Amino acid sequence: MSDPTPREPFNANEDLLDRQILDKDGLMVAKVDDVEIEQLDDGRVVVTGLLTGPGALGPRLGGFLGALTTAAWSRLAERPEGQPKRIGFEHVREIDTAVRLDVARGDLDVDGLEAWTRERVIEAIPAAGEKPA
Amino acid sequence: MRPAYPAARARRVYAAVAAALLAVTLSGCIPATPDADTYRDKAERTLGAGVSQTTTVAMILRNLHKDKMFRPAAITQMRYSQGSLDTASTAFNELTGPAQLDDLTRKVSSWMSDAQTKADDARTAIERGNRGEYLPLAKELTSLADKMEKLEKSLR
Amino acid sequence: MKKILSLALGILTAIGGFVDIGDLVTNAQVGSRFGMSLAWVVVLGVIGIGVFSEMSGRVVAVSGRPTFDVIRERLGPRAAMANLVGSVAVTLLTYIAEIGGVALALELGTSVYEYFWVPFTAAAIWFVLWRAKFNIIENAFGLLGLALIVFSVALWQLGPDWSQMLSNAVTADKPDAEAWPTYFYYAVALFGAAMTPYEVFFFSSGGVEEKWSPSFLPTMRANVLIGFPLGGLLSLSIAGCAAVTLLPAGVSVDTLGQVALPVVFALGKIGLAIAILGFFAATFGAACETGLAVGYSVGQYFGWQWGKFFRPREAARFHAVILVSTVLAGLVLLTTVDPIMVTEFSVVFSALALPLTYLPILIVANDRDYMGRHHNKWLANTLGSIYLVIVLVASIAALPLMIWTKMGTA
Repeated sequence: MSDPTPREPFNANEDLLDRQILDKDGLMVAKVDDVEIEQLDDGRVVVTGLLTGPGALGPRLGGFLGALTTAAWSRLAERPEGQPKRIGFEHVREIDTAVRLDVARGDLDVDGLEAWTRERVIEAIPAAGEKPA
Repeated sequence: MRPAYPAARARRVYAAVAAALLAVTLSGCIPATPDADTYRDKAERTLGAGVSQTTTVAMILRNLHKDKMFRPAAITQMRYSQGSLDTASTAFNELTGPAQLDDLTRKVSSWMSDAQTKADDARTAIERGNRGEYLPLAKELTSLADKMEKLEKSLR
Repeated sequence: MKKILSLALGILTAIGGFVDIGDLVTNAQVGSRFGMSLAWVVVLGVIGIGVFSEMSGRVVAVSGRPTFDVIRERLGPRAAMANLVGSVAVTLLTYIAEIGGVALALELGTSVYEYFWVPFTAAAIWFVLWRAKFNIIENAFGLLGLALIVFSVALWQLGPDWSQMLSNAVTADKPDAEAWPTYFYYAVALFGAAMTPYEVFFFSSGGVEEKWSPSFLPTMRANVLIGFPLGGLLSLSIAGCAAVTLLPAGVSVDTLGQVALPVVFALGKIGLAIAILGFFAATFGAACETGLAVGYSVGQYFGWQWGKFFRPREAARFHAVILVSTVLAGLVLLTTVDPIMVTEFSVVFSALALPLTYLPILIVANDRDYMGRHHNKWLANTLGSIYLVIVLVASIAALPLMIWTKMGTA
């Protein structure tokens, strides 16, 4: 993480965890399944990234279900456990009842399952790309 | 005595659970011989189902007679009513009642069987469109239902 | 003028969309066995669903966050996962019951066996959820569902002794033949049928689909406060019809055909045709709502893109969930399970699951950080707290009563 910009202090537990993440167009990206934090030299703790997806959710679920989630995700996403998908905190534009980003969802590499479902299942069905009438 | 290996012990527990489940399942296959109170209760419930379904069939026949109902709906409901009568009657006949209630058993069984026959007749009449039979059949069914209801109430 | 029209449309669809297979079956069963003595439960349920729909609608209009989004945020991933599993299981059960209800309505209209209709019904519902716009789903079936007013007309035509009915309702005068545990079992079932959790998931997610803002609050309140009670009147009419014609004759309801019988007595063929149309519309509309509710809940828990305001390919996982649940529901029905029995289970398990939905809504609606000046005021909080107690009692009592009364047959 190059230069985490210190911001107004906030309670990451209450204001950030489990909030909906929206992209710059208001499209839904993911939930804040976990946060990445870093301790600065002066002792302050800053949030440096939002962690999303089953790789981040699994450890927070805990127990057998959590382990299963993490392991399945790790195999399918071909990423080691403990390295969930992340969105750099510099992309966060605003935090209110949702976390709003300044990038488009397509430019983030966080939705492997969505892409797989889209390509393998949904687009195989006619009219998948048409607006509901 | 040496303790059993954990795997062997687990296998024994599984076997015991399986045996218990099997016993519970199979016990359902043995005809029940309920005591007098339970038997009266079952008879009451069987009669309740009998009254409900024979009356439903009679209502359908009367409405068809007055040309207030169309056939698809009537036939659909007939199927369900016949099915319910069969289920209730079979379930009751499975039971072996206590000897002192043989009179009750005879009445309930024969009335339920009457109801089944008349419902079958009604279904045939409706399928064939024999309009002349609707009202007489409805009257027979209603008087059967009245008999059943009287006995049902006396069992409460 | 346009505003009045859209307000009227909202209220009408709220009325027509209020009744689903659970309300149809449970109200008729209760009417045929208990007369009007359980009418108080319908009133209680209607006020309850109104209070919590208003709250969840307000949360959505102010924060843009629908119910399951909020549940995850307030309960955290673990408790919310348990909640999700419970809520989705109950909603799926309701989905199965609604699809079965459509098939039963079609069987009643054609006499062709219900199983024949199941695959077509499931496919048609999936197609509507795949292709139709949100407001078309909501409005078309809501308006067609108004056909159920035929039960109110029938009740009036049957000309019951109104004062007798009212006194039965007010004094909760249970017929002697029925036992108290059975009475309370049906009270819980009726309450579960009126307050089914999917209704709140659908209602609040619909707020996002229709992009409500705080300025929409008065319209939303009018829909809830006028539409739902009138929908409740339809429920009471169904019970009333059964109480007048079936109860004295000793007929207890266990098919959709018996639900319609009082209308046949009162209004003949035309009435029956309208009633069957009403059954079809009410169950088809509710099937669409429950199917969507499954997708909404799962999507909102995980933060996926969900909703009908996008092309299916833009909300792929949401549509995959709907597709899988529809196939699953169809397969369950093809095992020849009786949809009426599924309905009976679904309303009782709804009652069991009620606190899962309603407690988080009450908490968030009180959160000033979240809601600003639109947080709960004394009226909403008093009612909300009272209902929380009622909901908890119903939930705790549901399973013991079900087992004790052998699902109301003892």
